[in-house]
Amino acid sequence: MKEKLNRLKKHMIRADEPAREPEQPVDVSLSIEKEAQTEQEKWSSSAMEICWFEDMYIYKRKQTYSLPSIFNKKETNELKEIVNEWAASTITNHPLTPDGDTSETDLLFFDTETTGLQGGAGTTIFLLGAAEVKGDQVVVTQWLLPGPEHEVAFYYHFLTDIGTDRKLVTFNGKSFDWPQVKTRHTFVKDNVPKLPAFGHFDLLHAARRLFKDRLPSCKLSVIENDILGVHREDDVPGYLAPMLYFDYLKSGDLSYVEGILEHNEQDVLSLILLYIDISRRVITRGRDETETGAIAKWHEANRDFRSALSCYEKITSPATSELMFRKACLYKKCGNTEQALPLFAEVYRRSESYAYQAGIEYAKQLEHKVKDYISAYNVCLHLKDSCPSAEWGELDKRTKRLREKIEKSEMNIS
Amino acid sequence: MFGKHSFENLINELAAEPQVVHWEEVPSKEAVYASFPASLDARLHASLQTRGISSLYTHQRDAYDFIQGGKNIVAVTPTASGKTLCYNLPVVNDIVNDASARALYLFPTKALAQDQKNELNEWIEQLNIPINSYTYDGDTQPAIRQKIRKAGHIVITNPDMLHSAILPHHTKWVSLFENLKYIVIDELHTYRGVFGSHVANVIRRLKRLAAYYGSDPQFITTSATIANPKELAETLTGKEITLVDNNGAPRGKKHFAIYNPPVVHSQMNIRRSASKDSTYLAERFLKEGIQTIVFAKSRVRVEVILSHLQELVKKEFGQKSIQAYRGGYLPGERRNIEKGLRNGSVKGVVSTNALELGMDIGQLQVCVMTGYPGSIASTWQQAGRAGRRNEESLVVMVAGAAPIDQYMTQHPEYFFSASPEHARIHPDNLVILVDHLKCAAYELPFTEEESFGEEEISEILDFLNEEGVLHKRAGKWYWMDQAFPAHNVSLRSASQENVVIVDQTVPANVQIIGEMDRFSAMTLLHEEAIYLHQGTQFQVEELDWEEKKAYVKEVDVEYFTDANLNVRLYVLDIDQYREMGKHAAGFGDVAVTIMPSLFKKLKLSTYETIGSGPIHLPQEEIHTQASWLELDDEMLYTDGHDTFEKALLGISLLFEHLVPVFTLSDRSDVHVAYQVKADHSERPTIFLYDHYPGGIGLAKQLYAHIEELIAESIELLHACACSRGCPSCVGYDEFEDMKGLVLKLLQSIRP
Repeated sequence: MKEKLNRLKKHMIRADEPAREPEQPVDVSLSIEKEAQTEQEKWSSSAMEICWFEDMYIYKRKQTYSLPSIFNKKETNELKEIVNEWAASTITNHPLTPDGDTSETDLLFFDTETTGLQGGAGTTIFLLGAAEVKGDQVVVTQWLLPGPEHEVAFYYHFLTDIGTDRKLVTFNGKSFDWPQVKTRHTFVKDNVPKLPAFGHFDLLHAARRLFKDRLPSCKLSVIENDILGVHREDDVPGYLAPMLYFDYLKSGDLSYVEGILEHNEQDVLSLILLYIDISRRVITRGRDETETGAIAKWHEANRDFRSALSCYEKITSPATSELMFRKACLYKKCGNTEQALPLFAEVYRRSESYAYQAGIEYAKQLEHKVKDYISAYNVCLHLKDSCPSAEWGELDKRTKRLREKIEKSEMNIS
Repeated sequence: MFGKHSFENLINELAAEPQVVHWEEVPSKEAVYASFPASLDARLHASLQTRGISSLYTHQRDAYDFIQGGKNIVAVTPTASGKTLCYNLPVVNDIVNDASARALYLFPTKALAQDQKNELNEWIEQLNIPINSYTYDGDTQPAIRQKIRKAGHIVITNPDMLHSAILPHHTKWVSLFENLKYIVIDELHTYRGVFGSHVANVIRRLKRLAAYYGSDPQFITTSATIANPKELAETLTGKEITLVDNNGAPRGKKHFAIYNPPVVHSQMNIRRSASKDSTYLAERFLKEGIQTIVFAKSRVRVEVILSHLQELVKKEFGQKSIQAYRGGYLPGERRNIEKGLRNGSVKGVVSTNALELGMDIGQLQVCVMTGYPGSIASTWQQAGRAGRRNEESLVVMVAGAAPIDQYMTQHPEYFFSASPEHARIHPDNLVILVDHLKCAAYELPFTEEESFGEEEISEILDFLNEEGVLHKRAGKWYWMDQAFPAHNVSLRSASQENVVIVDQTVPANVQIIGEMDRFSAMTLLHEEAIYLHQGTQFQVEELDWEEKKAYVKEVDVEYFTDANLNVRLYVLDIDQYREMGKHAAGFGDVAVTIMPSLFKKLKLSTYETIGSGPIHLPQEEIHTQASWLELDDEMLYTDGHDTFEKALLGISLLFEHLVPVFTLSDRSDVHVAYQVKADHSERPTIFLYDHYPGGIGLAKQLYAHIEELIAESIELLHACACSRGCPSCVGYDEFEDMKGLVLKLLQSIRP
């Protein structure tokens, strides 16, 4: 069999599964306690703690930082401030709003490191990292899995430590990290606490809304550099994490994963800054008109039309046709015809993008609110040339109806 | 319409024609009914009654009873015998009584799955019971995927989707796996060869996960007629299977004619083309308004026949009365054809073989096959398209130029009396097995006690541990790799490093139309090769061997290409060996090095060589299984070295023609090579080897039947109408009587 396997090896071990150095046999004579201790001693950091669950263990690392060391030398608890500002604002339905009774200590800035970049049953999370702001300290807790056989201990300690009433703040955690936690939790669910139904703020979606036009990409590292002013030194890039972890598993040498722990810690710390940064931009209605426009659209998507309108109203310089059209639609929605009508008319006359839609809206307002059938009819006639084929029928109907109305009113006059 | 009388006349006329070389009558058969089982839910009973089903056929009842009794079954049923009720009845009956029960349906293609979902949902709607049945495939909207995972009672999918989307994400399917009561596999006979071997391993993984979640599903499978349905079902599912084959569906009288087009060039033994005569035959029936289906082997042929027929009938019935059916039709398009056939507006259908696979478009009265479909099983499936219940029908097979077609014309009894082919799979092919062990380890770590099919796996898992793919800790092998293994394993193509086929016919719309394993690509995708994709001809414009890409462009030519390979074969291990008089047969592991040298262009209709060119590609090596025939080396000296080599070449050609028929495999699955002096024995040797790393069991099967293969070869040779050998049998040689030479050699080997 062995011979056969080797003969067919090139058909079985492929380039994307690089064969590694043959494994060093792990000294099995060590007891599991001793193994855990020895590994820990090999590594310099004293913040590591061994946590047991039955005959399984994990490593837990806890680091605390003062507020100024995280918040650009500022003494104040900016996170607390921003949570209060959210509470004081009139913004509703926003995906980043902590609800009324959320305190800043409930927010858990969370990130994972996994053995593969693709989600799936066999992709293991080997490092969970979370940052919290407690009083005048920022606390980063990391749970490290010493081997796949310790997963029960891993989730037991993680879930027991974080409690049940938290709000996660992540970067792409809604589509990757948390589903992956759910996936791996399925394997150990009989032995560990249930997964609580956490609130979840995903900052990737938020960052895309605000920064996608101004940044080359919305990767966290790019945002750190260009938005947050965070510059990492000697960072282990995330894509190396699986390889380094496998090396750790084979050798038992924790120094392989030291860099990953640092990387993960910086990730969760950056999330605090990013949450504050984006929240502030939203609450203050943006720092420039493009941003204000993007925030307005975001409010619209959340069906918070009042906040959206308030953003559009902030834009004073001649806006794009799209923004004007959206603003007009919002006025219409609020029943404010007086404000809507000139805007629709303006976009329609500009003959740029949205001119057709604005023309239709303009005609509708003229017909139903102003009762100026002749003007409405003329607008419809004019729109014929730019009408997309799918809407021919509707425009035709409107034109005919207007014609009838004009004839009828003329008859009434005569 | 002239009605039945005219049909009879036409049949009698046809039977009297000299080109009809065989006429077989398959007698009609009355329906055999069985009552509805007492345990059947009253609502189901009532709904069947409303649909005009007042009792079951015997096979449907048996299927139901066996399933109720906890058995796993394979139901073997011909076309249009109500096979879907064999599984839908027990499954739906269970779900109406237990809303937590789940069933997984596997169909070989997306289109079939769609078709089934529609049929099933029509019934469920009529039942008015909340049963959720969904298809889950690449087209499923992401928005409803979650609902399917959580609440789908019946999930209808295909093996590829199961392999790459469901099993590796099983934690999202907990409610399916925890409650999985039934696994339905339709069209079982399509799971053979490499594809079937992969699917058998996918099913091992499925069972393993079901067991993990605490369920032990029953298997309900259905198959067209093959020689070994029970054996295939058992190998595929790893379960004991009960055979249900007492088909109770009625059948009208069926006439089966074999028609051989006349010889138009006697020296070369060239006949008129089969598509020409098929068109002419179909025309005779269509003109009388008799509904006729014509099968053609390629899309090009379909188009040619279609336009001819449309032209012929356009005055009487209008062009729309003849419709084409091609693979990949949407359910809506198919329904239109079906409707047209029922209301009479459609008279004729011209179809590729795609229709053979379980698709229901209703029955027609006459079926014309352009050439032998390639196996007995698919011939009967196509023939099943003709003949409504209790009505007389006619099937005409028009023989083509291919040697096997001509063999059929001479030996119709091979077709009518021989049992249909065996479908073989070899799930323990090491390469395939290892691929799926990786996928399985990704899904769930392996324990030391675990088994996976028949093979002892701990040695393989240790090997993967050493290679750094798995990681053994505390008695378990864990997946420890960044890759998502299922994405590197394709069920439908042989080896992993595939050549991607890029269609650049329309420069603005360059698209990937398929992929092919490296070894086959050498002979089928070299530059200037004519590559057939779903019946369409493409010419390979460029083969980028480094990047594994073949760039093709659609063409319409009257030839195909055939590559010559320099093949070296080294026997690594002899597993089985037996003397056959002065000769011997062997079976074992071999290393094959392949180096393509040149290719020939062969005329489609006659197999004549009309051109050739060189192939520039590097040498490839595979390790696989082979069986071989060692000949007495005395023979080398009787006729002289050169003549003897010609005889070996002739036998090889003959074997190449016969082996696919013999083993129910594709022409590319088994290759034939000969050596005048083989390295391992120093004797003249003919090798038959599996064209897949590690072997897929076909060579092994041939070892067991090598005497029969020789006997059949002699028969085929006798049957061929040529005088000194032709491309249809042993090849033509200007200076040699190839036929006599090969015949002599074969007879001397024959035990």
